[in-house]
Amino acid sequence: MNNFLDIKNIVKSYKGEAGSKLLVLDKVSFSTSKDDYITTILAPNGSGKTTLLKIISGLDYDYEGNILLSGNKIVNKFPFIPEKPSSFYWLNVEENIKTVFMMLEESDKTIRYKLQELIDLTGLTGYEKHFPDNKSYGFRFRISLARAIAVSSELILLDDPFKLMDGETKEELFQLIERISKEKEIRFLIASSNIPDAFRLSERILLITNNPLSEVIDISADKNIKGTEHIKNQIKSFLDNVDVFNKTNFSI
Amino acid sequence: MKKRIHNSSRYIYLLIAFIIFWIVFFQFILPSNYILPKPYLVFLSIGDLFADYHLISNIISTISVIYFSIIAAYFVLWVFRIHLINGNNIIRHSVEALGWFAGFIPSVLIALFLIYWLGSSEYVKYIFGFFTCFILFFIKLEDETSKMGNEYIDAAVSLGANKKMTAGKIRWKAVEHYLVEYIPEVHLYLWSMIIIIEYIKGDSGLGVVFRTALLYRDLPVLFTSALITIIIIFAGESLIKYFYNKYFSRSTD
Repeated sequence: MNNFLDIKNIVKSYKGEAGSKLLVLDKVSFSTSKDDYITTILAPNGSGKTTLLKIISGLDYDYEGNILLSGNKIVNKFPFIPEKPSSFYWLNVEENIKTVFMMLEESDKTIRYKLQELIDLTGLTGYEKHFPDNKSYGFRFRISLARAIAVSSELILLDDPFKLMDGETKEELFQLIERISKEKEIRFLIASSNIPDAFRLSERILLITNNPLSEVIDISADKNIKGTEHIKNQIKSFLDNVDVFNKTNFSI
Repeated sequence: MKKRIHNSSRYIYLLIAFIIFWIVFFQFILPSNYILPKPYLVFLSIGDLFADYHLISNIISTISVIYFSIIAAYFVLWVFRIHLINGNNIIRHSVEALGWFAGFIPSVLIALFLIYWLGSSEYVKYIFGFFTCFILFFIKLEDETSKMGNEYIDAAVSLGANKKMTAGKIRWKAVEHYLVEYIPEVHLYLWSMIIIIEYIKGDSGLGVVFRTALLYRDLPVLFTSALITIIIIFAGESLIKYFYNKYFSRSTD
């Protein structure tokens, strides 16, 4: 069995007004394989992607269903990088990453070694003493990414983190994520509503449709055929053929 | 670039200009009046302040109450920071209730009751000062932590932070500089309140100097002691701002 992540029949509802229930996820099931280093869950804005990611990361445990990692029940949390910048603005780059090591109770020697490695890996060299305040979204994302890698998790969850970034920054970060996923053997699960980003970055794209989210359709692009034209065609055919409940909520 | 609290040094020039204006007009041009005293009378009153009004011991009494209260309240807040930030515990609920209750009662009324209950005890000022500072700090802590975005907490928890770490290393650290930045406001408020209490109580402190000066309608002493109080408050505030800029200012690089 080559399955990496198994999501089985996840049901999640929120309490609404006057005791009513608002169903957000209705028996969502999908699997990713160990070869899927970058998987994107594509769904419209406000449809419940963040909820799903929080459940997988272990931040929300009030749900029904099962989540398995390599066939085993998950006991730990997975690093979750939210949509809004989450690097601690009151700490500089170095201190931001150190905080994670301190939470993990690593020794000073290990911290020194790993810290520099992570700073180099995420392209933050020379910015160690800089604070995230007033810095670009890309810079702040790199800090969050370095912290997430510091945990040595097999899976990192990204909740629409490129939404507010310009094209050039996004491309730099896509390349960074691609490199890190292979070098560090880390799988990324990304929630996004941006179709071109999903086709550009992911090996696997899972479109989750219906309201509440329930049906999962695998629309993965063929990564062997490279080029913008190919991606454009993929997107076109996707939009023409897939019955999405609200196309306008996607970024194209 | 660091975010700093700027010292109000430019206002010193305004103060110097005022003093020059006062000397020129009130010493040489205007006749004696009840608005401001003649500068030479102020100069002469300094001796009286030390001999008859026991200025030094009264200043020490007021200063010790104010700075003890601020330091002790901040220290206690720091010690109980995790309990105060993490909801649902007796410490937090008690402080919340106290803060809510104090919000409807003018501080001076609480002071009056303390004076009634504890009589001439010196501790009245300390108790009042400490609780006033503590409640003000707690309200600020509540306010700032509630403004903090959930994304920081979600990220930290997913990285392995437990409830205690989230409170101590994330929430507290995020609001700490706002609390220290707030101290000058607490400092000035406390000065006003302590002088009022001393004035009412009438046994020690700068409030007693003001009370006696008013009783004898001694304008030069009233003016000199007001000037000395302002200078001490300015020095204290400058020290707090220096402390903030050195240790707590947040860089905005």
